[in-house]
Amino acid sequence: MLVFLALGPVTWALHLTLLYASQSTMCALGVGVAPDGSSGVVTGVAAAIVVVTAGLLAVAIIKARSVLGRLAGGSVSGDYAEFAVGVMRVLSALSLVAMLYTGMALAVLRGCATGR
Amino acid sequence: MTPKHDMTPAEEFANRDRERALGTVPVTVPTTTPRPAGEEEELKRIWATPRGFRIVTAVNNTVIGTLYTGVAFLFFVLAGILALVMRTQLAVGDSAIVSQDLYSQLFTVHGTTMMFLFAVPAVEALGVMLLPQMLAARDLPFPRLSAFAVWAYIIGGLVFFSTVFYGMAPKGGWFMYPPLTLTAYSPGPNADFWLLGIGFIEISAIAGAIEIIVGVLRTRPPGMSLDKMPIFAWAMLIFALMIVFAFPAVILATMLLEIERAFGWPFFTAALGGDALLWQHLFWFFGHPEVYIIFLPAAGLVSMMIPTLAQKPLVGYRLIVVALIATGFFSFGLWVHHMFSTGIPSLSLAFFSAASMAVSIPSGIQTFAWIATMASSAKRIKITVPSLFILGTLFIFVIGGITGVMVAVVPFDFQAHDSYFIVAHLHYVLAGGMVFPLFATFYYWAPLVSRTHLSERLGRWAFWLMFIGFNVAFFPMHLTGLLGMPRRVWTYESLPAWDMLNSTSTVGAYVMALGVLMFIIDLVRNFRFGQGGPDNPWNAGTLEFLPNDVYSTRSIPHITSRDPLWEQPNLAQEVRDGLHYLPNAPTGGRETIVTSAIDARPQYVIQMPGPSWTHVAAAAFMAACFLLLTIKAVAIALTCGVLSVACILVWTWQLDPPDQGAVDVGGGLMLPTYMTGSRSHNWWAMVVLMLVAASLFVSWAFSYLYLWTVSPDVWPEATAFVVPALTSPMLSAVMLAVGAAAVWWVGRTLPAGGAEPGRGADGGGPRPFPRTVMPQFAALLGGGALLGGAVTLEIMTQVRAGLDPAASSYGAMVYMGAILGAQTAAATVMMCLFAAARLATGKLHARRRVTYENAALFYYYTAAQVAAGLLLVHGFPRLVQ
Repeated sequence: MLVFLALGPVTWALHLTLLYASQSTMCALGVGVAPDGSSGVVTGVAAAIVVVTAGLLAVAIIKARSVLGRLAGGSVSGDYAEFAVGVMRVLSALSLVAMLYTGMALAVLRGCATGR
Repeated sequence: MTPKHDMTPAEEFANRDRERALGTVPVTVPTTTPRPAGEEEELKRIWATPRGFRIVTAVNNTVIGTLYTGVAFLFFVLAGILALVMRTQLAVGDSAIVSQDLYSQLFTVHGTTMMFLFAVPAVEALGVMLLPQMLAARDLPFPRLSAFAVWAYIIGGLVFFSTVFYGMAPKGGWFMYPPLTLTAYSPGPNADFWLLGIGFIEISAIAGAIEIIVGVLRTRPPGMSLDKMPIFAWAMLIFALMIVFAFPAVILATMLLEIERAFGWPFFTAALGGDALLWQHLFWFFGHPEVYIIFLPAAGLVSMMIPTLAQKPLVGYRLIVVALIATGFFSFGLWVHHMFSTGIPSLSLAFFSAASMAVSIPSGIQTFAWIATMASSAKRIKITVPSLFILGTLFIFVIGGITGVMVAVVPFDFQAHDSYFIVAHLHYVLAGGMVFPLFATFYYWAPLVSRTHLSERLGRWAFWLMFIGFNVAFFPMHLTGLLGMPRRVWTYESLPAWDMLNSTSTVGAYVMALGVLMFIIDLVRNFRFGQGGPDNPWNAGTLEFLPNDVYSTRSIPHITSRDPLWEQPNLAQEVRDGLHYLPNAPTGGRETIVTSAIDARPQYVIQMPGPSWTHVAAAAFMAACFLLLTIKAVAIALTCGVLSVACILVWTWQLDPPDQGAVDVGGGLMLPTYMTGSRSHNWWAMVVLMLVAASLFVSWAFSYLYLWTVSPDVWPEATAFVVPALTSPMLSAVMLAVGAAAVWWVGRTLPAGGAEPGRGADGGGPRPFPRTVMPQFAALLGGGALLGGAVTLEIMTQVRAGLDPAASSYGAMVYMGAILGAQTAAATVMMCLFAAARLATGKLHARRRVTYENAALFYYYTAAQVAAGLLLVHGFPRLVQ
């Protein structure tokens, strides 16, 4: 049940972990890094992570009741189920906004440039 | 109604709930017959606080919570005095009131004390004091654990703070960055006091967090499902979970730095493959959640006070729950915003800049919900001391939040970093987000623990002096910072722009101090610890204002709404008359009801321990062990460590009382008095402990991989070091598997319960150790030996391979992984030995098996952690070669 409520933030945390870990590791190892600091590989991998995780979360928001059913079985119903679905949807929507904020940076910045 | 004999207690309770909802059974209290005479006196006797010097042994949450809060406030005052000395030094330029060295100690101890010895302990203290009352529980589920945590904190904190009086205080800033804090630049024990002292205090905070998680999830009153839980309970649950995941990172960091200082293992020395930035990553991964760990409980308290002061239910309860959970999670994704100017690639910085802006949304949700609650009140909110401090909170916190979004913008932060702008920002969010709510809390909840009210007049003086003084002190610092004044400077060249602003800040600091003094005067004149104050002076709707005594409430109420005292007008009288659950002490000892995590259906009665010297002694010896290590008195330190463990063993031996069968808790509801498996509160505590250990391990794994990205040249693929053959780690893995299997087998073959050996069924003379449990006894000992052997084998393998931990960060990290494994293995072996002793004395059998389950759970975790460490250390170098 607590996992259901926090599905959005957990997905966001997973997305940020994958994003930062992959980008910083590839930049540290110089994977596909051009002299100006850009890296198509880094940007491509990061974009894929954002798209996949945001997509999965969007599906979970739409199908929240069926996700609740899978995670909690038949043990949650009535007022409490409405509360749980409501909280999960708003939290997930916030998380989606946060993921899209982060993803916007990919469109503006080069993959590995230090910028200073 | 379905016959009771066909249903478990939880099913019976749920059935009654359904029938009440359908209207087929009128809403009634569990019992209507008057309680027998003498029950209340019996409760008072069982829950009595020890008198005289024995009060030190007390475990009641009101006593411990009040002590905890009082000591936290003392540290606030002490750290505030240090701030006044700093402001006096900075009042004018070219000042020499204090030396540079002393000034460095002052700002380090001020920041460290405020963050570690005041802010987190204060909110944890309020949780200990208020949560059982808000949940109508008789106490928290592990009373001696919270008492242990408090004594560890008091002793450790006072010794740490005292270092400023004899020039031994740390001086590397509250964040203690290497290389400044390495031995080369910080010789002497100053830094060690921070590393060992604060590391120890964090253990105490984690102990409190475990208790809060289990208490909030499992000791709520029947009917208080998660959607009816007080907002403060939500806030404390998230606070405690954040501690579980954040504190291990800084515990690892302090271990690494202390080991480098003591033994030269180069975790942070670039020349040998280390990286000073590793410290920053670990510290701020803890440090940013830390500030939300401080803020969330205070926000939860504000969410409780505003509805009462507005006499209106909280607007946006669900949204505030969303905001608390979102803040808790998002705060873990911001840490790099403390490292914007370290040369990390722009795209990485942008990820954290985005997250830092995103986290302001949930904070805004809470703020608007508070404003909406106040605005929607039928009458204007009454201006009292608590409401004044809350209005001050809103003003100050919003300003701090705005400057927070400003510094989340990377180019702006490049200019503002390490300037007084940041000092202004952090004080606005912490004072607005925690200090002002704390003072509101003192005035609002004092009637719970004080026979007399605090003074409204002195309180208003305190508020206005604090509010005006705070803004006069800290608002100019925004300008001082933008005019270029850096942080942590002990003096500055006298300049017209800086002089006036600094002088103004100093005047403001003294005005604020005067406000705090007014509050202290109020406390001295009017606070009188004890029962007898008015029951519900604010006409609040929540359970902490039920009539209560030393045993908490006379009976534990059945809840049907979020504001029970408003929705159930007769509840206070019903509870006082003992008409709800557990109006007596059916086992003759300290008890409360354990309920299910989601729906709060009663499941069993928990038998809790009472006062004892064991936890006090354990805390004292453990504090002595850590503090003596800082002055390198190793032999005495280890002796104290052993004594602490001995006290803990005596303490835990007294726990796990036998099953007393099912008892009537009111209205014919029969509940068991012993629970095993995943429904047991002990099992839940062990799971949380495993999450702490796992967080520590993951922090190490991150550190290992991070240093590989920074310094692959010291990893085996680039050096002459040959990774040991796979034979040894595979042998270790086999030992782990066999040991785990042995422990599992014990659980399947525990003997049926019976009379304890040592006493014959007729109470006669001692009996020999029963041969029937010898195999299980041997299996527990064998399992422990195999675990210890697996870890020892790994260490010896690396030693034989010639790996030197002081030669490179690679070697240091490999051995660190083994140390972490050895640490958890040592605890596990002790638990196995303990369980074996319980088995031998008949206190562990198939029905009374909690001791075994705790040991088994931790054994499986430790085996998995050691195996994961072996996989990383032996697998990763082969993968990248």
